[in-house]
Amino acid sequence: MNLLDELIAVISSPMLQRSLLAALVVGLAAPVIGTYLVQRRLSLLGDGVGHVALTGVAMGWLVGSWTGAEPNDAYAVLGAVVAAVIGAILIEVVRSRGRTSGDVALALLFYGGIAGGVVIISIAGGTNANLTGYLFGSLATITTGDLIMTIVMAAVIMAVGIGLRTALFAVSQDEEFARSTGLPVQVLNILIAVVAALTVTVSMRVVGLLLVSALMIVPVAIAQLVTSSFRRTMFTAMGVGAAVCVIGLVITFFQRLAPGATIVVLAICVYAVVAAVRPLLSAGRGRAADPHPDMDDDVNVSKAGARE
Amino acid sequence: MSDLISVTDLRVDLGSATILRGINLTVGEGEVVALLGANGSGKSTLMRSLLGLVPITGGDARLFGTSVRTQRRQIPWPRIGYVPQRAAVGSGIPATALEVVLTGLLNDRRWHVPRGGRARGLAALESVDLGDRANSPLHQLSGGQQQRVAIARALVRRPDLLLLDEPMAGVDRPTQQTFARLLATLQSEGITVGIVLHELGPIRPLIQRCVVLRHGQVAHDGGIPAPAPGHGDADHEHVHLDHGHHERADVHEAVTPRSLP
Repeated sequence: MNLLDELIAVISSPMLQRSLLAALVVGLAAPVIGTYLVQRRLSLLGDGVGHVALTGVAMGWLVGSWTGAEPNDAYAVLGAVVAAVIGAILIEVVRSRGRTSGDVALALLFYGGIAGGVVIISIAGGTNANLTGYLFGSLATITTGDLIMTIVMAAVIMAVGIGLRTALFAVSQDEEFARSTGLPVQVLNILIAVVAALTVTVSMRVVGLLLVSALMIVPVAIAQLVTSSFRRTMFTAMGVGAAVCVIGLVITFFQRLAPGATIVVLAICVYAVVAAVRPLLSAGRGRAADPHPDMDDDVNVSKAGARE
Repeated sequence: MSDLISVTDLRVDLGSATILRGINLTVGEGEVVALLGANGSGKSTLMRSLLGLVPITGGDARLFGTSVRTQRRQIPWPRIGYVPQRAAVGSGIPATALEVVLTGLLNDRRWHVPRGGRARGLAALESVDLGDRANSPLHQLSGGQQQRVAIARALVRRPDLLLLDEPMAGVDRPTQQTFARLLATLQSEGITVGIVLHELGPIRPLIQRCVVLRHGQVAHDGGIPAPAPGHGDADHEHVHLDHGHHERADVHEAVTPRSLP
């Protein structure tokens, strides 16, 4: 059987179709909000929110075991959404206050999130093994219901992130000016935090909470190497995100590798290659051009070798 | 009410320090007012408190007759343009000059670039002599060019009141010339302008009124004050690069009104 037949066999499996589709929409959606986070120097926000979301997963599990829900983790995603949104708003409040203790407050939130999750899951009668799927992704077990929820959430993320592009760019680029225009800066900041939290929970399925941030940030880091406008950076990052998610997942159909980690490693490899190749690409243009042609020279210098 | 700005007994505290106290000031329509003072005298804080960027702890400031302190939502934000002291360049993500200028079209009610906004943005960049740099990423522009982008971002709003915080600090000569010419145009169009300045420099002939702050209080309000001893002698050479007395003659030539976007 050659590779093509194998690929066709893979693609005709409903389970693999579902996971491919989930990887595609998450790959498209995650870099949208990642672009704003990089712009505001909050690249690690996704990480922090991911940690907090773990407590939410465990809380959902606990509620599920109390109410005798079937399956046990019926409320886990809901719990993750609630905890992630609360965590993201808390981080935004700490950030906007600009207190020096903000750094420590964030650290407390991160570690509290992970530790809280592990403690609560044991109270709920689960083990750390139950958390593994949330920590490292669980694309293989995605159901049709999960897929629909993933698509709906990704659609919301893209609608807000792309639809309100100019306003969200304005507050991320120069917050002080944005306030002077009358824009409701606080509302927009919280909107970014909430959409980031949704992105974390929707990406949890694909790469897991520990690697969520990579899916939001690495495609943006790749895109900004080759673009010169905000708009193009966002759309390039979306394309890169979708491509690495799908290709990374397809690789794991043939090699027994963990999908989430494979996707992230692939993305980082792409970054390394693009960063290495970029100087070669831009060598031809730009180098010779005077960046400030409207500036007159300040002093006259004789041609090469002024010193005798 | 014809006063665009009216400040009554304004007090601003930041932490435990009193930055401004007992400030009374009115600026009428069409006035061009320079706000002068030494470093730390509270010039920037006064301008920022007018815009509600710094909390007012006593007294009040009104823009277009509306209180900044209690009626912030009712202020006609589209009529106000602001140029911050150091325009934020932003971080990793590249953004073009035009993208940054287009954010100036937003206000409390409008969260999108309106129809025809792009053309307005380009015209605003043209008015600061950066029409050819519209698609250049901001981080590739010089400090002076970035300052001009920030001015274009305020002008694209077509404001009736323009507030600028040290627009001349540390900028190159083309930017000073562009700015002096722009200011003349704005003046001829009857736009009210407030400028925080360290020193009048090349725009001296365009200023009719100066407000001088000293230790958070108004020390002078009227014509151009005489320089302090040691600051106005004919042979006085400023060590700072941003003053440039010797360039004044060139700048005057450049002061010819041009139409704005």
